[in-house]
Amino acid sequence: MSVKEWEPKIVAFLCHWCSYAAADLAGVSRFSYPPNVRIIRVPCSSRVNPQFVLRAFAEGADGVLVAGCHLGDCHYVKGNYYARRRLWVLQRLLEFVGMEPARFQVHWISGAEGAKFAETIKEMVDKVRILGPNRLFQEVKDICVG
Amino acid sequence: MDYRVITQEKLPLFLSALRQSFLLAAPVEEEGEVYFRLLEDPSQVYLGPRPSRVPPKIFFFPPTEPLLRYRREGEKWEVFSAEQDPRPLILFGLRPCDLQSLKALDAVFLASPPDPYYAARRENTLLLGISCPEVGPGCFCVTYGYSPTTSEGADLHFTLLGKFYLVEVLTPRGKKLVQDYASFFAGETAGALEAKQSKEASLLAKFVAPPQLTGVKEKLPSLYHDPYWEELAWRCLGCGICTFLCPTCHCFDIFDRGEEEGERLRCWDTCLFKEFTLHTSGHNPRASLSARLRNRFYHKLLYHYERYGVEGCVGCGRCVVFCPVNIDIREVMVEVRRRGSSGF
Amino acid sequence: MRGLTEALRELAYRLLREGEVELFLGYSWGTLPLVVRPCFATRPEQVEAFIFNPLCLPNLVKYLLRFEGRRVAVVVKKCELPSFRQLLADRNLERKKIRLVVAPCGGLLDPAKLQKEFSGQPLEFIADRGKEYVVRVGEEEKVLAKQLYLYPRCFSCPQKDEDLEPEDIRLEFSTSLPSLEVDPYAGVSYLEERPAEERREFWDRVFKRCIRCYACREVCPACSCHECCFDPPLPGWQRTVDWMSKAHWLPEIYQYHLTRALHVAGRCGECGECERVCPVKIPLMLLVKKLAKEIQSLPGVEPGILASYSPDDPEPH
Repeated sequence: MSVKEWEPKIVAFLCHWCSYAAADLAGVSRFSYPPNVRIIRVPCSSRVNPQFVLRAFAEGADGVLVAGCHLGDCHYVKGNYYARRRLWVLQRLLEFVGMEPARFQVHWISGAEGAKFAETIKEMVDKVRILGPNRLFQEVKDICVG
Repeated sequence: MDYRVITQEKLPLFLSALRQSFLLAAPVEEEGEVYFRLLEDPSQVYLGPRPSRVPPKIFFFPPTEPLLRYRREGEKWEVFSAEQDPRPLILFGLRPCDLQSLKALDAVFLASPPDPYYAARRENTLLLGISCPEVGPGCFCVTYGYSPTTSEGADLHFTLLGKFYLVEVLTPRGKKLVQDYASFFAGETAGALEAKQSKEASLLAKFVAPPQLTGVKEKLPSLYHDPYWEELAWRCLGCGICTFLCPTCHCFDIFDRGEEEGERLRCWDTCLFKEFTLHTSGHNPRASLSARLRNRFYHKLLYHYERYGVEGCVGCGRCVVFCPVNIDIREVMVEVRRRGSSGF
Repeated sequence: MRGLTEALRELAYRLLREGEVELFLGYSWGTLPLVVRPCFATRPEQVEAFIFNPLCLPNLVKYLLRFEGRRVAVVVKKCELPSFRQLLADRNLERKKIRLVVAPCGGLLDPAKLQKEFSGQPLEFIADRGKEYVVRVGEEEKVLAKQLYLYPRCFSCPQKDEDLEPEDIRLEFSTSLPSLEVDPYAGVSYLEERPAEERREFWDRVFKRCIRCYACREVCPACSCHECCFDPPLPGWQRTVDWMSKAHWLPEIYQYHLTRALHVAGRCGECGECERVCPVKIPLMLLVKKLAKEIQSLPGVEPGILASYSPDDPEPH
């Protein structure tokens, strides 16, 4: 695939109560944002097991976004607090093995923030586009494994 | 058999020349340990006493072998054959035990009907053996009736004698290689054969009490229910080191990777993992670690021979040296001879 | 250090003979020079095999899982106590059935470093003089400076043996490890300061070696789940929901090692066994230490840290 044909693939895990509603609102309000994002609805940002993120990258995602309710607004009271700590640690680990920080982002977007959702996606796609295809976790089919 | 010699200085030049027309892999040091790698700089070849950690079976039976690719278009499935690198490969620096191990693998993969993937890789690869400079702490090749200088199985075999290598030309393909690169070799081998023999004798003298093979196969069947395996398994971690680093272990699993589009892969598997024998019903005939560990030793010491008429262990010592809890197949052989009875 | 070995054998003999324990877990010489292996005794006459010296590297606490419910004595070094406590908590082991035998350790020695020096000759340990060990090689007595031969993790030895039960046993022997003042996070900091591209190349190179033998998981006292997410729950064709395939390719290998690092984060006792057993020398402790370093900066550090939160946690970007 030539560089020109390449389009960033972003996997977005959106919490059902806020960020998914924000995506809905963005659509209803006709805010435009790039079509590079694949949305996966989760009940809460704390449902996002770090393994989901790793798997998304392993399956070829160029960026992963996790979005949930603002702190204090979680439908399950404190789910996003748990998510915050866990995903912060995951970010440190991914950066340690050489991933560019912009590829894995966490945002708090409420159901009323359709514009913020569109803006977040736009910014993320722009950043990942500049970085190019994700090279970490890429298949290296070398005959000298082991 | 034909003989040549090559000087120590010319060997890297010969390897450089080979790199022009072949893929060339050889043992190199990576972070202090020895692995087979595609050779970028022939001066990097590791010629020291340690064998490669991961055996050269990776070149014939890779840890992951794509068997075919598939893609779904609506209701139709398209299937494509998997491609292998067509460039001819030369493996330099195979130890006598590595060469022997190919006999065991050939028996499995080349028996009728031959495995096309393995057969193609074997066909596409030239084997350049090298005699061991030392006897390692885990080595017991003599148990299997060959020595650290045995050239059997190679196309060319190198033995360092002072400042030059004796090169044994063992196959027509080896002969062609020597002819194509004739400028690196000299034909004058006076005294070299004798020198190799005395080198072999001095290496053989370094083996301290290698395990004896007599009686092991005969006695093993009587020990199937012996508590020895249970006690041995207390220490075993149940990891796959001994099987994955074994140059003759060849078990695999086949599965598809990808749903709408992907590859059918054949991957290394090991009898030490409990999923290895797990049935669809949920029953597991080797549910305990001791049963799995026992199976490994029976396979290495008995089953492989019974089935193929070729030894399933070559005495390379990798499982001995790299087992984190020192489960030693040599010790197992001694115990089998001590505890077992023949004529069961 | 013959005295220490003698004391250990006497203790094991007494405990087994008087029926205080059914099994004594310790160390014996292996079949290779400089290699010590785990050793199990169930009868008093078996104790002659036991030894203790600075080559006793393996962490034995995970073997306790194999003998759950039985009365077991196990030899531990101080550095292994955190991993023991974690295992105890994770698997709810019956503490009163376990007798810890805390061996006085003046620092372990690295067999790889000794191998270079003594090329496989057997060593006999005579004494521990604080900064050095006295050993006998053949007929000769030699002095080994700890600074040169110490096992990497011993440079940051915790030297603490708290939380023992009254029934536990501390073996007495004159031994000491001088404070070596080595930054336990030196390797982590070094890599952190490299450019991202170089870090990626580094991990690609070491992970490419992984043969997925799972030795790091099998040996890890913090990896004690009854079912591991990397073991297929169903055989062969029935498999539909694997976390990842068995391929030895980087996507799978990264997933495995990063997930494992996250699973043990905050629970890892840093015994270093994963790195010791790795047959292809993947520096796994770098991942673990990196996470330990980050977690230490979180407010309210406590066990199970990734299963809790604080309102003052740092914000992800």
